[in-house]
Amino acid sequence: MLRYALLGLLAHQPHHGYELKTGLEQALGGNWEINFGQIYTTLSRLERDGLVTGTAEAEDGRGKRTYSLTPSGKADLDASLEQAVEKPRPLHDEFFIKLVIRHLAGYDDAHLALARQRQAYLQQLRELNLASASQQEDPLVSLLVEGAILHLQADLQWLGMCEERLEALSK
Amino acid sequence: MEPIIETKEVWKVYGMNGASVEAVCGIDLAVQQGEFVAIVGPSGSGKSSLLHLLGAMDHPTRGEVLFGNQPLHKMSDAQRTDLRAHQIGFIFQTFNLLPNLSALENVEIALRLGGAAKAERQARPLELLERVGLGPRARHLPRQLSGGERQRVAIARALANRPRLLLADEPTGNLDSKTGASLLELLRQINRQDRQTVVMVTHDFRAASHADRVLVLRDGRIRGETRLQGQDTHRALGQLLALEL
Amino acid sequence: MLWDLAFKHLWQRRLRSALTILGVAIILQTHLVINGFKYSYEQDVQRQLSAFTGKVLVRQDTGDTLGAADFSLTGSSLEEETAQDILALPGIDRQASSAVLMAPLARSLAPTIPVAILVVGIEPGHEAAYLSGFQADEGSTNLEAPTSAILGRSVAELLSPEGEEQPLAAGDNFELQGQTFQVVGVLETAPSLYNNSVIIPLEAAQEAFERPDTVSAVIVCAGQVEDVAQIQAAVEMGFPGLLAISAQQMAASVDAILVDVRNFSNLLTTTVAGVAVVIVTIVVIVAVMEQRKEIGTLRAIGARRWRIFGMVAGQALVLCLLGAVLALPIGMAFLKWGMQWEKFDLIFIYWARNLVWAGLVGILAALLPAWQAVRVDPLEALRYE
Repeated sequence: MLRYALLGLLAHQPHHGYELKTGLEQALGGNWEINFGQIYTTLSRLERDGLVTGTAEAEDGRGKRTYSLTPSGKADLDASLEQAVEKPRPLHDEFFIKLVIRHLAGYDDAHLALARQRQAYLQQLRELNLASASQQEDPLVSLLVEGAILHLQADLQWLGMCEERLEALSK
Repeated sequence: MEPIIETKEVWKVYGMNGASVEAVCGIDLAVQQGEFVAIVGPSGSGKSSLLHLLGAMDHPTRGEVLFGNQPLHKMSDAQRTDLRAHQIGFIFQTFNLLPNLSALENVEIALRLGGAAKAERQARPLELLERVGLGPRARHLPRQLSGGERQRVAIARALANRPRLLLADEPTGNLDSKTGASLLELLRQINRQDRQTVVMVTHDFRAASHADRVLVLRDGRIRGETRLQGQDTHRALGQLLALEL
Repeated sequence: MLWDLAFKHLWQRRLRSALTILGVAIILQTHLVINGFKYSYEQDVQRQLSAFTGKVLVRQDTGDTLGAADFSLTGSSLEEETAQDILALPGIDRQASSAVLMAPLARSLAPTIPVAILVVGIEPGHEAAYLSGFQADEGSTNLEAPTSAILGRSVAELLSPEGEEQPLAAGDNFELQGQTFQVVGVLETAPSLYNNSVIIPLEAAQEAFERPDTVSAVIVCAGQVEDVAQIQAAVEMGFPGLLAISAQQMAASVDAILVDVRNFSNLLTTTVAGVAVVIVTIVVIVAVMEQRKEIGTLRAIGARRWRIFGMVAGQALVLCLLGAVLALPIGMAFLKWGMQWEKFDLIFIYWARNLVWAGLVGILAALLPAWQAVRVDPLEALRYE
């Protein structure tokens, strides 16, 4: 993914490495620091594949290098963006695995696990609510947060369903 | 410390065409001064019936409801009415403002019902409306206000008589999520700053997560209780943004 | 109190409130008019009676129950000779007594309503027997010539030739049953019987109505008030088939009629008030239905039942009292243009009474809707549909 994020930034205008790092961090709401080394290894791989070209500031090839997108880089970026994400969200989430293991082990205290899980989800929901309030000025991050909130709400409803069904089974 | 409101093994059973429906089944609940409690459950979970009992609007079939040390289940209609006027503030899902009265008059009427002195009745409504951010719109009629603004007026009205308990029934049910969030933020603020006890009933986990304590209700029974803390927004965002880049 | 809420709701539904108030006003103005009418009728009858004080009316016993109170006497008939025999009885003030012939010129509308024009033939020189102290506004009350006539107020207007604005006055001529009469005097405003009378000499009347040697009755004036009973006895002893009626007996008979009139007008006004109660009740019930959620909310935020009762009763009272206020101009207009009534002095007293009636109507009309309103459950506020 980092590869396409860098191509995306360069599609807008040429940047040097440091600008790419800060630009990326900003787009993600300034909450996350990206490893500098990771950026450079990705860039050199892109240059090797002919998707970007690097130009050194000084003529002797030293100093800051400014990167720009090549036509084949642009084509690669567009092809990637045009494709719908086809991989499904993993159905077997961690909690579900634990429920299964619990069953395998013959434990019959699923309701306790469900209650604890709900507690954890509610706590996350609360924190995301607060994050949502503090991230309103950044539309992209707030979209991300809202998406996560909707997923959590669905998870909480699913917990209720688990409770109900498992209760019916044990009767 | 004595709870603001407490139920002891409280039941509410409705008789319908010979069959009886158990809406509230032996709930024990205590809310302390200054708490913000959310009761969350799907429709039919008995949360409305429980709210009616907490709000001194209905009689329990069995069990006790204590408001401070006053037994609600033993009170006459007039006593419960007075209790609602003085000690309980209500926030409704559909706002329930009086349509022919301005925002200011809607707050004033609550003071009148609470038997406030004249000076108080003149000064306090505007103070309260300013508190909820509606000072400039005090003279507007409800139909001239947006849903969120109406609910803010309703909050101001509910706070008019400095109630010991603020009860909210799906307060964000008729609001879009953004307006709802800012309204819940306002409730939180009031809860924090005035140590105002708030009990909110909702079906929405997101709304419930604004509270400090969440009770999950299903089939008339409390199925889970969670205390929420902290405001570590960074942790949540951090987890979200830990993308495999 | 929550009266401001009551007013604001009425104001919110201005058109309906205005129509209700108008309806109440129209209903209550009939109350005003009926009472005014009843009062003026009673006044008229009382003045008529007082004019007969000290007199005995001798008439044919026609056996009908209204006999004693029938001032027009058109149903009675007796020989003039008999009349003269009666007038010769001892103890009579002959000057103030007379044989009279009465004949209607237009048909009577109903037994108790006086005929439109009553022709009264009276012995010249004995005019006082009939006029009983009522004076002429202009001219004299002496029937000097065989074609002299004294006119009542209303008659002076009724008989004036078509196209003539002015009523007849002393000196004018007019036609009656084909004969020409000259007006010698026009009476002051008096009870309706006099206002509607044309008084001419007895002989002229007998000729005009082709009833020679016949009179309707004899008006006998006792020389002394104590002699009334004695004269009555003498008439009834000596002249079988005749009735001698004293003013007192007349009064008793009139009272019986007035009781009927009062009962009838009371029945009317009560019915009318009942209609007003029903109308206002319906309007306020609808208002309560509209306000169910508001009432529930008020109950939920701590309004006691009596406050809700007051709010609803306030709405009913406002509608009724405003209706009563508006009833005054409507009633006055109705009396003035519909019935040519000019005396408004008493209407204010009836109007003041009307306000009390309206208050009563308002309270009665409030009972059912207010009872419904106080029964609204506070949980009504929490029903979301």
